[in-house]
Amino acid sequence: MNRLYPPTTLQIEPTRRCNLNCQICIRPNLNELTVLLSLEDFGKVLDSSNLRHVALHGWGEPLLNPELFQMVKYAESKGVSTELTTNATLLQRNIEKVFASGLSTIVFGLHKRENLPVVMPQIQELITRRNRKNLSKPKAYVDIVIYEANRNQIEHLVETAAELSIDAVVLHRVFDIRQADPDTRYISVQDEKMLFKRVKNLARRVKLKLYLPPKPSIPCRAVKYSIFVTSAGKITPCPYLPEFYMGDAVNGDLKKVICSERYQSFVRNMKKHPVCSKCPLGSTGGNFYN
Amino acid sequence: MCLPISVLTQGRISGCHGVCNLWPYISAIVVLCAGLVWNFVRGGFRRKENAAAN
Repeated sequence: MNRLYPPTTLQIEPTRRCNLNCQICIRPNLNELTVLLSLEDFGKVLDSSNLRHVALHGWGEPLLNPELFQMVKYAESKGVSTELTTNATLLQRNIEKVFASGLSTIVFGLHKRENLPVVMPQIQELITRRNRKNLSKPKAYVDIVIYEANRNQIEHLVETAAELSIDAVVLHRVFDIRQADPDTRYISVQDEKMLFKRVKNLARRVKLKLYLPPKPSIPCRAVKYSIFVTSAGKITPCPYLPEFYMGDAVNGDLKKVICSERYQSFVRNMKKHPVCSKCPLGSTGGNFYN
Repeated sequence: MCLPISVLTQGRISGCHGVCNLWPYISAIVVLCAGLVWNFVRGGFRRKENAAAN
């Protein structure tokens, strides 16, 4: 692929530490689980990137990085809009920091009913306080990952999001890279069709903006629009290739990597890549059509 | 973990994708075209002035 224009989103991982242990997460199989990205390194990566949007999350819980909101403030002060996805379990103690940092978008990752009693009051408090202060930021969204074990909970999660006055709900398909547990695989084509029909009707009924998973494409959206940097500063094409290192972002390699023959060759051959060929963003085979 | 929702929604939520991406190039083309048009028009005025002087 010859890039007419470079990616616009830097996805950078504040930490791989997490306070939860979700069934669908590949964290236990990763290296460097305790690393915290430093504010200094974040600044170096951001300044060398010229990207206009930064997403501060990866395979851990971003709120566990004590310098997270300083990173957000720094990015916003440079005119770079910010977003992050959190499990919301640590939200309450950080609400004022969210507002003070100028964070543009906050996303709550919800995927099972059992967590709702803990996270709902915290999300509700953030939204209530935001509205009370008449703040336009952050916009608040819910991201729901769909997999076999939670397929009967999706509508309940969408209804919950509507009760919270969330700005929109985004659904996305699990990418079960390990394929070790039948509960974490994706649902069938037929089940997905019926689920999306029901959820669209529900969203219309409760007047909630809904985004369904995108159609697969090669090169996929992750590669077209973003580049991923791990908490240790290493560049990979996307979070689903967390150890496919292509360079060191802290040393200023970001632009070099994007223009490199190695990266271009990876993009040209994505269809044959053992991971990309099964990813729901890039393929209608493999993970998606179970 | 998930991908940025700006990526999942192709910039409709947050971020900047699609046509928005092209604004630097579009701006450059507009400036270039404006320069060419201005040059052409200025050249036309000069020719008229020269013709009137002669």
